[in-house]
Amino acid sequence: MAGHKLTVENLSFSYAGAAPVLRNVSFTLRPGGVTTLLGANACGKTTLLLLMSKNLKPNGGRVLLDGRDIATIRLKDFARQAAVVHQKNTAPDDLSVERLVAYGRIPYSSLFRGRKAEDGERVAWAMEATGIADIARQTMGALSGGQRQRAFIAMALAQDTKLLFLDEPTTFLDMRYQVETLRLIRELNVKHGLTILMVLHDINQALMYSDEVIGLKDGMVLAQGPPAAVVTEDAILALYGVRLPVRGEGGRMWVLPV
Amino acid sequence: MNSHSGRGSAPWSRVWRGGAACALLALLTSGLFLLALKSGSIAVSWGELWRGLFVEYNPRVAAVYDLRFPRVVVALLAGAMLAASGLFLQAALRNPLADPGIIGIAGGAAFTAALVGAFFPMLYFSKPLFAFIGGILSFLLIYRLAWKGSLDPVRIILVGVAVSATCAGLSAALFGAGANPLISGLVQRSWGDVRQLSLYAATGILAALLLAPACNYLALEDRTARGLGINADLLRGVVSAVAVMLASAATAIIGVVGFLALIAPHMARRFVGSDHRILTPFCLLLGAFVLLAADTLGRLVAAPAEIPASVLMNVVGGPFFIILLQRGERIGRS
Repeated sequence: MAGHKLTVENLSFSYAGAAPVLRNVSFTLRPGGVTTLLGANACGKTTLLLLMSKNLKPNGGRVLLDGRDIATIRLKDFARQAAVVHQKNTAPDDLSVERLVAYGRIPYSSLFRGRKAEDGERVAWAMEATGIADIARQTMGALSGGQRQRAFIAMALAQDTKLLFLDEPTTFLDMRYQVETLRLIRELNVKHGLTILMVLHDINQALMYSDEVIGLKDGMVLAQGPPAAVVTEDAILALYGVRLPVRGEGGRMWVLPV
Repeated sequence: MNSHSGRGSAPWSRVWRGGAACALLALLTSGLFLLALKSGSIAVSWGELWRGLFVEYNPRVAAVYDLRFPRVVVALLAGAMLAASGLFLQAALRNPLADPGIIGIAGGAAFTAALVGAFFPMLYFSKPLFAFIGGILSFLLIYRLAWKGSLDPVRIILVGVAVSATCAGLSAALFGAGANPLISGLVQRSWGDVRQLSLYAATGILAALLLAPACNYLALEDRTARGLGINADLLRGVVSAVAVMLASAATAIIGVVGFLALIAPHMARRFVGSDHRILTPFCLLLGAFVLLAADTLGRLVAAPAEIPASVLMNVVGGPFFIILLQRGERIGRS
Protein backbone atom coordinates (compact mmCIF):
# COMPACT_ATOMS: atom_id res chain seq x y z
CA MET A 1 0.00 0.00 0.00
CA ALA A 2 2.12 2.82 -1.24
CA GLY A 3 1.29 6.47 -1.06
CA HIS A 4 0.28 6.88 2.51
CA LYS A 5 2.92 6.09 5.02
CA LEU A 6 2.88 8.94 7.49
CA THR A 7 5.55 9.29 10.13
CA VAL A 8 5.91 11.94 12.78
CA GLU A 9 9.50 12.42 13.92
CA ASN A 10 10.51 14.19 17.14
CA LEU A 11 7.89 16.86 16.61
CA SER A 12 7.98 19.88 18.92
CA PHE A 13 5.84 22.95 18.83
CA SER A 14 4.93 25.98 20.89
CA TYR A 15 2.80 28.99 20.03
CA ALA A 16 4.77 32.24 20.15
CA GLY A 17 5.81 33.06 23.70
CA ALA A 18 3.80 30.22 25.26
CA ALA A 19 4.74 26.95 26.90
CA PRO A 20 5.42 24.04 24.51
CA VAL A 21 2.29 22.31 23.25
CA LEU A 22 4.06 19.28 21.78
CA ARG A 23 7.29 17.78 23.05
CA ASN A 24 9.26 15.34 20.98
CA VAL A 25 6.29 13.48 19.54
CA SER A 26 7.06 10.48 17.33
CA PHE A 27 4.82 7.82 15.83
CA THR A 28 3.95 6.15 12.56
CA LEU A 29 0.36 5.89 11.39
CA ARG A 30 -0.66 2.35 10.62
CA PRO A 31 -1.14 2.26 6.84
CA GLY A 32 -4.66 1.25 5.91
CA GLY A 33 -5.85 1.55 9.49
CA VAL A 34 -7.95 3.83 11.63
CA THR A 35 -5.94 5.59 14.31
CA THR A 36 -7.53 7.68 17.04
CA LEU A 37 -5.83 10.38 19.05
CA LEU A 38 -7.02 10.45 22.65
CA GLY A 39 -6.19 12.89 25.38
CA ALA A 40 -7.55 15.48 27.75
CA ASN A 41 -8.49 18.98 26.64
CA ALA A 42 -5.51 21.10 25.58
CA CYS A 43 -3.14 18.12 25.40
CA GLY A 44 -2.13 19.12 21.87
CA LYS A 45 -4.36 16.89 19.72
CA THR A 46 -5.65 19.60 17.42
CA THR A 47 -2.22 21.24 17.25
CA LEU A 48 -0.74 17.92 16.19
CA LEU A 49 -3.34 17.61 13.46
CA LEU A 50 -2.58 21.15 12.27
CA LEU A 51 1.14 20.36 12.13
CA MET A 52 0.43 17.18 10.18
CA SER A 53 -1.68 19.08 7.65
CA LYS A 54 0.72 21.96 6.89
CA ASN A 55 -1.37 24.48 8.80
CA LEU A 56 1.41 25.07 11.32
CA LYS A 57 5.17 24.77 11.06
CA PRO A 58 6.96 22.71 13.73
CA ASN A 59 9.66 24.25 15.90
CA GLY A 60 11.54 20.98 15.78
CA GLY A 61 11.24 17.61 14.11
CA ARG A 62 9.31 16.84 10.97
CA VAL A 63 6.38 15.03 9.45
CA LEU A 64 7.22 12.55 6.70
CA LEU A 65 4.85 11.39 4.00
CA ASP A 66 6.33 8.33 2.29
CA GLY A 67 9.71 9.45 3.54
CA ARG A 68 9.41 13.02 2.33
CA ASP A 69 9.24 15.99 4.69
CA ILE A 70 5.81 17.57 4.15
CA ALA A 71 7.39 21.02 4.52
CA THR A 72 8.90 20.45 1.07
CA ILE A 73 5.60 19.40 -0.50
CA ARG A 74 3.57 22.14 -2.18
CA LEU A 75 0.21 22.90 -0.58
CA LYS A 76 -1.62 21.80 -3.70
CA ASP A 77 0.27 18.52 -4.04
CA PHE A 78 -0.25 17.80 -0.37
CA ALA A 79 -3.99 18.36 -0.86
CA ARG A 80 -3.97 15.48 -3.35
CA GLN A 81 -2.46 13.15 -0.76
CA ALA A 82 -4.12 14.12 2.51
CA ALA A 83 -7.55 15.60 3.21
CA VAL A 84 -8.64 17.15 6.49
CA VAL A 85 -12.08 17.64 8.01
CA HIS A 86 -11.68 20.31 10.64
CA GLN A 87 -13.79 20.72 13.71
CA LYS A 88 -15.09 24.13 12.73
CA ASN A 89 -16.48 24.49 9.25
CA THR A 90 -17.94 27.53 7.59
CA ALA A 91 -19.74 27.87 4.29
CA PRO A 92 -22.14 30.44 2.86
CA ASP A 93 -25.76 29.54 3.58
CA ASP A 94 -26.74 29.69 -0.07
CA LEU A 95 -23.93 27.44 -1.32
CA SER A 96 -25.30 24.19 -2.72
CA VAL A 97 -24.06 20.90 -1.26
CA GLU A 98 -22.87 19.82 -4.68
CA ARG A 99 -20.78 22.98 -5.14
CA LEU A 100 -19.20 22.54 -1.74
CA VAL A 101 -18.29 18.93 -2.48
CA ALA A 102 -16.91 20.03 -5.86
CA TYR A 103 -14.48 22.33 -4.00
CA GLY A 104 -12.72 19.07 -3.18
CA ARG A 105 -11.53 19.04 -6.78
CA ILE A 106 -9.67 22.34 -6.44
CA PRO A 107 -6.31 20.59 -5.85
CA TYR A 108 -6.65 19.11 -9.33
CA SER A 109 -7.72 22.31 -11.06
CA SER A 110 -5.57 24.87 -12.77
CA LEU A 111 -6.08 28.07 -14.68
CA PHE A 112 -5.56 26.35 -17.99
CA ARG A 113 -7.49 23.19 -17.40
CA GLY A 114 -11.24 23.08 -17.39
CA ARG A 115 -13.41 20.64 -15.50
CA LYS A 116 -12.87 17.05 -16.46
CA ALA A 117 -15.43 14.27 -16.49
CA GLU A 118 -13.33 12.64 -13.80
CA ASP A 119 -14.06 15.57 -11.46
CA GLY A 120 -17.81 15.13 -11.82
CA GLU A 121 -17.54 11.39 -11.29
CA ARG A 122 -15.46 11.77 -8.17
CA VAL A 123 -17.87 14.36 -6.74
CA ALA A 124 -20.85 12.10 -7.47
CA TRP A 125 -19.02 9.18 -5.88
CA ALA A 126 -18.16 11.20 -2.76
CA MET A 127 -21.79 12.24 -2.31
CA GLU A 128 -22.94 8.67 -2.86
CA ALA A 129 -20.43 7.28 -0.35
CA THR A 130 -21.52 9.75 2.32
CA GLY A 131 -25.21 9.32 1.57
CA ILE A 132 -25.90 12.90 0.56
CA ALA A 133 -26.60 12.38 -3.15
CA ASP A 134 -30.29 13.06 -2.62
CA ILE A 135 -29.63 16.45 -1.03
CA ALA A 136 -27.04 17.56 -3.61
CA ARG A 137 -29.17 20.53 -4.65
CA GLN A 138 -29.98 21.76 -1.19
CA THR A 139 -28.16 24.73 0.24
CA MET A 140 -25.82 24.46 3.20
CA GLY A 141 -28.04 26.70 5.30
CA ALA A 142 -30.87 24.18 5.06
CA LEU A 143 -28.91 21.17 6.37
CA SER A 144 -28.95 19.48 9.76
CA GLY A 145 -25.73 19.16 11.76
CA GLY A 146 -25.21 15.58 10.60
CA GLN A 147 -25.79 16.46 6.96
CA ARG A 148 -23.36 19.37 7.20
CA GLN A 149 -20.71 17.09 8.64
CA ARG A 150 -21.31 14.61 5.83
CA ALA A 151 -21.04 17.34 3.22
CA PHE A 152 -17.62 18.36 4.54
CA ILE A 153 -16.50 14.74 4.70
CA ALA A 154 -17.69 14.34 1.10
CA MET A 155 -15.63 17.38 0.11
CA ALA A 156 -12.57 15.74 1.66
CA LEU A 157 -13.35 12.49 -0.17
CA ALA A 158 -13.61 14.34 -3.46
CA GLN A 159 -9.95 15.21 -2.97
CA ASP A 160 -9.24 11.56 -3.75
CA THR A 161 -6.53 11.12 -1.12
CA LYS A 162 -5.14 8.08 0.64
CA LEU A 163 -5.04 9.89 3.97
CA LEU A 164 -7.97 11.39 5.81
CA PHE A 165 -7.68 13.41 9.02
CA LEU A 166 -10.75 14.25 11.08
CA ASP A 167 -10.74 16.58 14.08
CA GLU A 168 -13.52 15.62 16.48
CA PRO A 169 -15.95 14.61 13.73
CA THR A 170 -18.70 13.79 16.23
CA THR A 171 -18.47 16.64 18.70
CA PHE A 172 -21.41 18.78 17.66
CA LEU A 173 -23.68 15.92 16.66
CA ASP A 174 -26.42 14.11 18.52
CA MET A 175 -26.15 10.39 19.19
CA ARG A 176 -27.63 9.14 15.95
CA TYR A 177 -25.40 11.32 13.75
CA GLN A 178 -22.37 10.45 15.85
CA VAL A 179 -22.90 6.76 15.19
CA GLU A 180 -23.67 7.36 11.52
CA THR A 181 -20.54 9.42 11.07
CA LEU A 182 -18.31 6.86 12.78
CA ARG A 183 -19.81 4.00 10.76
CA LEU A 184 -19.20 6.02 7.63
CA ILE A 185 -15.57 6.58 8.63
CA ARG A 186 -15.12 2.85 9.26
CA GLU A 187 -16.72 2.05 5.93
CA LEU A 188 -14.43 4.47 4.09
CA ASN A 189 -11.51 2.72 5.69
CA VAL A 190 -12.67 -0.83 4.99
CA LYS A 191 -14.27 -0.41 1.57
CA HIS A 192 -12.06 2.28 0.10
CA GLY A 193 -8.78 1.65 1.85
CA LEU A 194 -8.28 5.09 3.34
CA THR A 195 -5.75 5.51 6.12
CA ILE A 196 -7.55 7.52 8.77
CA LEU A 197 -6.42 9.59 11.72
CA MET A 198 -9.06 11.14 13.92
CA VAL A 199 -9.33 13.00 17.18
CA LEU A 200 -12.11 11.74 19.46
CA HIS A 201 -13.29 12.72 22.90
CA ASP A 202 -15.29 9.58 23.54
CA ILE A 203 -13.14 6.63 24.65
CA ASN A 204 -15.85 4.12 23.81
CA GLN A 205 -16.08 5.39 20.26
CA ALA A 206 -12.31 5.09 20.03
CA LEU A 207 -12.50 1.52 21.32
CA MET A 208 -15.18 0.55 18.81
CA TYR A 209 -13.93 2.22 15.69
CA SER A 210 -10.12 2.25 15.79
CA ASP A 211 -7.37 -0.19 14.93
CA GLU A 212 -4.95 1.83 16.97
CA VAL A 213 -5.08 4.57 19.55
CA ILE A 214 -2.46 7.11 20.49
CA GLY A 215 -2.72 8.60 23.97
CA LEU A 216 -1.41 12.14 24.21
CA LYS A 217 -0.62 13.75 27.53
CA ASP A 218 0.94 17.20 28.02
CA GLY A 219 2.24 17.19 24.47
CA MET A 220 3.88 13.76 24.69
CA VAL A 221 2.87 10.34 23.43
CA LEU A 222 1.95 8.25 26.45
CA ALA A 223 0.96 5.08 24.63
CA GLN A 224 0.31 3.75 21.17
CA GLY A 225 -1.18 0.43 20.16
CA PRO A 226 -4.37 -1.55 19.65
CA PRO A 227 -7.21 -0.12 21.77
CA ALA A 228 -7.58 -3.24 23.91
CA ALA A 229 -3.92 -3.01 24.91
CA VAL A 230 -3.76 0.73 25.43
CA VAL A 231 -7.07 1.54 27.08
CA THR A 232 -6.64 0.36 30.64
CA GLU A 233 -7.82 1.85 33.91
CA ASP A 234 -4.28 3.04 34.61
CA ALA A 235 -3.91 4.59 31.17
CA ILE A 236 -7.21 6.44 31.55
CA LEU A 237 -6.07 7.72 34.92
CA ALA A 238 -2.81 8.92 33.42
CA LEU A 239 -4.48 10.51 30.36
CA TYR A 240 -7.53 12.12 31.92
CA GLY A 241 -6.73 12.17 35.65
CA VAL A 242 -9.79 10.15 36.59
CA ARG A 243 -10.21 6.47 37.47
CA LEU A 244 -12.96 4.76 35.48
CA PRO A 245 -14.00 1.12 35.28
CA VAL A 246 -13.06 -0.70 32.06
CA ARG A 247 -15.28 -3.69 31.24
CA GLY A 248 -15.16 -6.32 28.54
CA GLU A 249 -17.49 -8.95 27.19
CA GLY A 250 -17.36 -11.11 24.08
CA GLY A 251 -14.30 -9.41 22.67
CA ARG A 252 -15.81 -5.96 23.08
CA MET A 253 -14.59 -3.47 25.60
CA TRP A 254 -16.11 -0.39 27.07
CA VAL A 255 -15.45 2.25 29.65
CA LEU A 256 -18.09 3.55 31.99
CA PRO A 257 -17.52 7.28 31.88
CA VAL A 258 -19.52 7.95 35.04
CA MET B 1 -31.22 7.34 -9.69
CA ASN B 2 -33.77 10.05 -9.51
CA SER B 3 -31.51 12.33 -7.60
CA HIS B 4 -29.00 12.23 -10.41
CA SER B 5 -31.29 13.00 -13.30
CA GLY B 6 -30.86 16.53 -14.49
CA ARG B 7 -27.82 17.16 -12.37
CA GLY B 8 -26.29 20.39 -13.51
CA SER B 9 -29.59 21.98 -14.37
CA ALA B 10 -29.77 23.66 -10.98
CA PRO B 11 -26.41 25.43 -11.26
CA TRP B 12 -27.23 26.38 -14.82
CA SER B 13 -30.51 27.92 -13.87
CA ARG B 14 -28.68 29.88 -11.23
CA VAL B 15 -26.13 31.12 -13.74
CA TRP B 16 -28.97 32.00 -16.07
CA ARG B 17 -30.77 33.93 -13.36
CA GLY B 18 -27.59 35.76 -12.41
CA GLY B 19 -26.89 36.58 -16.03
CA ALA B 20 -30.42 37.85 -16.49
CA ALA B 21 -30.12 40.02 -13.38
CA CYS B 22 -26.85 41.48 -14.67
CA ALA B 23 -28.34 42.12 -18.12
CA LEU B 24 -31.36 43.84 -16.61
CA LEU B 25 -29.21 46.04 -14.42
CA ALA B 26 -26.93 46.87 -17.36
CA LEU B 27 -30.02 47.95 -19.29
CA LEU B 28 -31.24 50.11 -16.41
CA THR B 29 -27.80 51.66 -16.06
CA SER B 30 -27.70 52.48 -19.77
CA GLY B 31 -31.10 54.12 -19.46
CA LEU B 32 -29.92 56.13 -16.49
CA PHE B 33 -26.77 57.08 -18.41
CA LEU B 34 -28.83 58.58 -21.23
CA LEU B 35 -31.16 60.32 -18.81
CA ALA B 36 -28.22 61.76 -16.90
CA LEU B 37 -26.71 63.10 -20.14
CA LYS B 38 -29.94 64.77 -21.17
CA SER B 39 -30.97 66.29 -17.85
CA GLY B 40 -29.55 69.34 -16.17
CA SER B 41 -29.16 73.09 -16.40
CA ILE B 42 -28.47 72.98 -20.12
CA ALA B 43 -31.60 71.39 -21.52
CA VAL B 44 -31.25 69.36 -24.69
CA SER B 45 -33.74 67.08 -26.38
CA TRP B 46 -32.94 63.49 -27.39
CA GLY B 47 -32.82 64.57 -31.04
CA GLU B 48 -30.49 67.45 -30.33
CA LEU B 49 -28.25 65.22 -28.27
CA TRP B 50 -28.04 62.60 -30.99
CA ARG B 51 -27.44 65.09 -33.82
CA GLY B 52 -25.02 67.16 -31.75
CA LEU B 53 -22.90 64.18 -30.84
CA PHE B 54 -22.81 62.31 -34.09
CA VAL B 55 -24.02 64.56 -36.91
CA GLU B 56 -23.26 68.27 -36.63
CA TYR B 57 -21.82 70.79 -34.20
CA ASN B 58 -24.23 72.26 -31.68
CA PRO B 59 -22.76 74.59 -29.04
CA ARG B 60 -25.15 73.44 -26.33
CA VAL B 61 -24.46 69.77 -27.01
CA ALA B 62 -20.75 70.58 -27.11
CA ALA B 63 -21.07 72.08 -23.64
CA VAL B 64 -22.87 68.94 -22.47
CA TYR B 65 -20.12 66.86 -24.05
CA ASP B 66 -17.38 68.80 -22.25
CA LEU B 67 -19.05 69.25 -18.87
CA ARG B 68 -21.77 66.71 -18.24
CA PHE B 69 -20.52 63.73 -20.22
CA PRO B 70 -17.20 63.23 -18.38
CA ARG B 71 -18.92 63.71 -15.05
CA VAL B 72 -21.40 60.98 -15.88
CA VAL B 73 -18.65 58.63 -17.06
CA VAL B 74 -16.58 59.30 -13.92
CA ALA B 75 -19.63 58.59 -11.77
CA LEU B 76 -20.18 55.25 -13.51
CA LEU B 77 -16.54 54.18 -13.26
CA ALA B 78 -15.99 55.37 -9.69
CA GLY B 79 -19.28 53.85 -8.54
CA ALA B 80 -18.36 50.47 -10.00
CA MET B 81 -14.87 50.67 -8.50
CA LEU B 82 -16.08 51.59 -5.02
CA ALA B 83 -18.73 48.88 -4.97
CA ALA B 84 -16.26 46.20 -6.08
CA SER B 85 -13.78 47.49 -3.53
CA GLY B 86 -16.31 47.09 -0.73
CA LEU B 87 -17.26 43.62 -1.94
CA PHE B 88 -13.64 42.48 -2.00
CA LEU B 89 -12.81 44.00 1.37
CA GLN B 90 -15.82 42.28 2.88
CA ALA B 91 -14.66 38.98 1.39
CA ALA B 92 -11.00 39.41 2.34
CA LEU B 93 -11.63 40.54 5.91
CA ARG B 94 -14.70 38.30 6.32
CA ASN B 95 -16.36 41.37 7.70
CA PRO B 96 -19.73 42.55 6.41
CA LEU B 97 -19.06 46.03 7.79
CA ALA B 98 -15.89 46.59 5.77
CA ASP B 99 -16.02 49.71 3.61
CA PRO B 100 -12.94 51.57 2.34
CA GLY B 101 -14.43 54.81 3.68
CA ILE B 102 -15.28 53.50 7.11
CA ILE B 103 -12.05 51.61 7.72
CA GLY B 104 -9.85 54.53 6.68
CA ILE B 105 -8.45 53.46 3.31
CA ALA B 106 -10.21 56.25 1.45
CA GLY B 107 -9.01 58.78 4.03
CA GLY B 108 -5.39 57.74 3.56
CA ALA B 109 -5.77 57.73 -0.21
CA ALA B 110 -7.40 61.15 -0.30
CA PHE B 111 -4.76 62.62 1.96
CA THR B 112 -1.77 61.42 -0.09
CA ALA B 113 -3.49 62.43 -3.33
CA ALA B 114 -4.07 65.92 -1.96
CA LEU B 115 -0.53 66.08 -0.63
CA VAL B 116 0.94 65.22 -4.01
CA GLY B 117 -1.42 67.63 -5.74
CA ALA B 118 -0.41 70.48 -3.45
CA PHE B 119 3.35 70.01 -3.24
CA PHE B 120 4.20 68.23 -6.47
CA PRO B 121 1.73 69.61 -8.98
CA MET B 122 3.82 68.23 -11.84
CA LEU B 123 2.82 64.78 -10.63
CA TYR B 124 -0.84 65.70 -10.86
CA PHE B 125 -1.56 62.98 -13.37
CA SER B 126 -0.13 60.26 -11.14
CA LYS B 127 -2.55 61.22 -8.40
CA PRO B 128 -4.32 57.83 -8.40
CA LEU B 129 -0.97 56.09 -8.08
CA PHE B 130 -0.02 58.09 -5.00
CA ALA B 131 -3.51 57.61 -3.61
CA PHE B 132 -2.96 53.87 -4.03
CA ILE B 133 0.26 54.10 -2.02
CA GLY B 134 -1.55 56.06 0.69
CA GLY B 135 -4.42 53.58 0.64
CA ILE B 136 -2.10 50.58 0.99
CA LEU B 137 -0.24 52.26 3.85
CA SER B 138 -3.42 52.95 5.79
CA PHE B 139 -4.70 49.44 5.07
CA LEU B 140 -1.50 47.89 6.43
CA LEU B 141 -1.63 50.17 9.46
CA ILE B 142 -5.27 49.29 10.17
CA TYR B 143 -4.63 45.59 9.66
CA ARG B 144 -1.63 45.72 11.98
CA LEU B 145 -3.49 47.64 14.69
CA ALA B 146 -6.65 45.55 14.53
CA TRP B 147 -4.79 42.23 14.55
CA LYS B 148 -4.98 40.39 17.84
CA GLY B 149 -4.43 36.80 16.83
CA SER B 150 -7.35 37.23 14.50
CA LEU B 151 -9.18 40.18 13.00
CA ASP B 152 -11.96 41.38 15.22
CA PRO B 153 -14.67 42.80 12.93
CA VAL B 154 -15.62 45.62 15.27
CA ARG B 155 -12.05 46.43 16.24
CA ILE B 156 -11.13 47.00 12.60
CA ILE B 157 -13.98 49.51 12.33
CA LEU B 158 -12.83 51.35 15.45
CA VAL B 159 -9.22 51.52 14.25
CA GLY B 160 -10.49 52.61 10.83
CA VAL B 161 -12.50 55.44 12.33
CA ALA B 162 -9.39 56.66 14.15
CA VAL B 163 -7.26 56.50 10.99
CA SER B 164 -10.00 58.27 9.00
CA ALA B 165 -10.24 61.03 11.58
CA THR B 166 -6.46 61.47 11.62
CA CYS B 167 -6.29 61.74 7.83
CA ALA B 168 -9.23 64.16 7.73
CA GLY B 169 -7.55 66.22 10.47
CA LEU B 170 -4.25 66.32 8.61
CA SER B 171 -6.02 67.34 5.40
CA ALA B 172 -7.88 70.09 7.22
CA ALA B 173 -4.69 71.32 8.89
CA LEU B 174 -2.85 71.50 5.59
CA PHE B 175 -5.56 72.72 3.27
CA GLY B 176 -7.94 74.62 5.51
CA ALA B 177 -10.93 73.47 7.41
CA GLY B 178 -13.34 73.45 4.47
CA ALA B 179 -12.15 70.36 2.72
CA ASN B 180 -9.33 69.82 0.42
CA PRO B 181 -9.56 72.00 -2.64
CA LEU B 182 -8.13 69.48 -5.06
CA ILE B 183 -10.78 66.88 -4.69
CA SER B 184 -14.28 68.13 -5.04
CA GLY B 185 -16.60 65.25 -5.71
CA LEU B 186 -18.10 64.80 -9.12
CA VAL B 187 -18.50 68.48 -9.96
CA GLN B 188 -16.29 69.75 -12.79
CA ARG B 189 -14.88 66.39 -13.75
CA SER B 190 -13.23 66.59 -17.16
CA TRP B 191 -12.19 64.18 -19.88
CA GLY B 192 -8.73 64.36 -18.31
CA ASP B 193 -10.19 62.81 -15.18
CA VAL B 194 -11.85 60.11 -17.24
CA ARG B 195 -8.50 59.31 -18.86
CA GLN B 196 -6.73 59.20 -15.48
CA LEU B 197 -9.37 57.02 -13.93
CA SER B 198 -9.96 54.65 -16.82
CA LEU B 199 -6.54 53.01 -16.66
CA TYR B 200 -7.09 52.07 -13.02
CA ALA B 201 -10.73 51.24 -13.59
CA ALA B 202 -9.91 48.88 -16.45
CA THR B 203 -7.07 47.15 -14.57
CA GLY B 204 -8.98 46.93 -11.30
CA ILE B 205 -12.25 45.74 -12.78
CA LEU B 206 -10.50 43.13 -14.90
CA ALA B 207 -8.59 41.90 -11.85
CA ALA B 208 -11.82 41.81 -9.84
CA LEU B 209 -13.59 39.70 -12.45
CA LEU B 210 -10.65 37.30 -12.70
CA LEU B 211 -10.41 36.95 -8.92
CA ALA B 212 -14.16 36.57 -8.43
CA PRO B 213 -14.21 32.72 -8.39
CA ALA B 214 -11.35 32.60 -5.88
CA CYS B 215 -13.18 35.04 -3.57
CA ASN B 216 -15.67 32.25 -2.90
CA TYR B 217 -12.94 30.23 -1.18
CA LEU B 218 -12.37 33.02 1.33
CA ALA B 219 -15.81 32.29 2.76
CA LEU B 220 -14.47 28.94 4.01
CA GLU B 221 -12.31 28.67 7.10
CA ASP B 222 -8.65 29.38 6.30
CA ARG B 223 -7.72 25.87 7.40
CA THR B 224 -10.27 24.37 5.08
CA ALA B 225 -9.03 26.48 2.17
CA ARG B 226 -5.44 25.47 2.86
CA GLY B 227 -6.56 21.84 2.95
CA LEU B 228 -7.75 22.35 -0.62
CA GLY B 229 -4.33 23.60 -1.68
CA ILE B 230 -5.27 27.28 -1.56
CA ASN B 231 -2.81 29.67 0.04
CA ALA B 232 -5.47 31.61 1.91
CA ASP B 233 -3.13 34.33 3.20
CA LEU B 234 -1.77 35.07 -0.26
CA LEU B 235 -5.26 35.11 -1.75
CA ARG B 236 -6.47 37.45 0.98
CA GLY B 237 -3.51 39.76 0.30
CA VAL B 238 -4.16 39.90 -3.44
CA VAL B 239 -7.90 40.44 -3.01
CA SER B 240 -7.24 43.19 -0.47
CA ALA B 241 -4.70 44.88 -2.74
CA VAL B 242 -7.20 44.98 -5.61
CA ALA B 243 -9.84 46.40 -3.27
CA VAL B 244 -7.47 49.09 -2.01
CA MET B 245 -6.39 49.97 -5.55
CA LEU B 246 -9.98 50.34 -6.74
CA ALA B 247 -11.00 52.48 -3.78
CA SER B 248 -7.85 54.64 -3.84
CA ALA B 249 -7.97 55.44 -7.53
CA ALA B 250 -11.67 56.33 -7.34
CA THR B 251 -11.07 58.45 -4.25
CA ALA B 252 -8.17 60.30 -5.93
CA ILE B 253 -10.59 61.54 -8.58
CA ILE B 254 -13.89 62.07 -6.75
CA GLY B 255 -12.88 62.31 -3.10
CA VAL B 256 -14.26 60.29 -0.24
CA VAL B 257 -17.72 58.89 -0.92
CA GLY B 258 -18.87 56.98 2.11
CA PHE B 259 -21.17 53.97 2.35
CA LEU B 260 -21.55 53.17 -1.37
CA ALA B 261 -18.97 50.41 -0.99
CA LEU B 262 -20.86 49.14 2.03
CA ILE B 263 -24.37 49.25 0.66
CA ALA B 264 -23.88 48.02 -2.90
CA PRO B 265 -22.48 44.58 -1.96
CA HIS B 266 -25.26 44.04 0.59
CA MET B 267 -27.94 44.97 -1.91
CA ALA B 268 -26.26 42.81 -4.54
CA ARG B 269 -26.21 39.77 -2.24
CA ARG B 270 -29.93 40.22 -1.69
CA PHE B 271 -30.51 40.05 -5.42
CA VAL B 272 -28.10 37.39 -6.65
CA GLY B 273 -26.81 35.51 -3.59
CA SER B 274 -23.26 35.08 -2.35
CA ASP B 275 -21.55 33.42 -5.32
CA HIS B 276 -18.85 35.92 -6.31
CA ARG B 277 -18.82 34.75 -9.91
CA ILE B 278 -22.20 36.42 -10.34
CA LEU B 279 -22.00 38.78 -7.41
CA THR B 280 -18.92 40.61 -8.68
CA PRO B 281 -20.26 41.73 -12.09
CA PHE B 282 -23.63 42.52 -10.53
CA CYS B 283 -22.00 44.56 -7.79
CA LEU B 284 -19.91 46.53 -10.32
CA LEU B 285 -23.05 47.44 -12.25
CA LEU B 286 -24.98 48.24 -9.10
CA GLY B 287 -22.25 50.57 -7.84
CA ALA B 288 -22.18 52.39 -11.16
CA PHE B 289 -25.95 52.68 -11.14
CA VAL B 290 -26.26 53.90 -7.55
CA LEU B 291 -23.53 56.54 -7.74
CA LEU B 292 -24.81 57.91 -11.04
CA ALA B 293 -28.36 57.91 -9.68
CA ALA B 294 -27.23 59.78 -6.57
CA ASP B 295 -25.28 62.31 -8.63
CA THR B 296 -28.09 62.87 -11.11
CA LEU B 297 -30.67 63.18 -8.37
CA GLY B 298 -28.40 65.63 -6.55
CA ARG B 299 -28.13 67.74 -9.69
CA LEU B 300 -31.84 67.82 -10.43
CA VAL B 301 -33.65 67.83 -7.12
CA ALA B 302 -32.68 71.32 -5.97
CA ALA B 303 -31.53 72.87 -9.27
CA PRO B 304 -29.77 75.20 -9.79
CA ALA B 305 -28.15 74.24 -6.46
CA GLU B 306 -26.49 70.84 -6.29
CA ILE B 307 -26.44 68.24 -3.56
CA PRO B 308 -23.16 66.31 -3.81
CA ALA B 309 -23.52 62.57 -4.35
CA SER B 310 -21.37 61.94 -1.28
CA VAL B 311 -23.86 63.87 0.87
CA LEU B 312 -26.76 61.83 -0.48
CA MET B 313 -24.81 58.63 0.13
CA ASN B 314 -24.15 59.67 3.71
CA VAL B 315 -27.81 60.44 4.33
CA VAL B 316 -28.85 57.02 3.06
CA GLY B 317 -25.76 55.10 4.17
CA GLY B 318 -25.58 56.20 7.80
CA PRO B 319 -28.87 54.62 8.85
CA PHE B 320 -28.10 51.56 6.72
CA PHE B 321 -24.81 51.11 8.57
CA ILE B 322 -26.62 51.36 11.91
CA ILE B 323 -29.07 48.65 10.83
CA LEU B 324 -26.18 46.37 9.88
CA LEU B 325 -24.48 46.99 13.22
CA GLN B 326 -27.71 46.17 15.01
CA ARG B 327 -28.18 42.94 13.15
CA GLY B 328 -24.54 42.00 13.71
CA GLU B 329 -24.88 39.84 10.66
CA ARG B 330 -21.99 37.75 9.36
CA ILE B 331 -21.10 36.37 6.03
CA GLY B 332 -21.46 32.59 6.04
CA ARG B 333 -22.61 31.71 9.50
CA SER B 334 -21.14 28.47 10.74
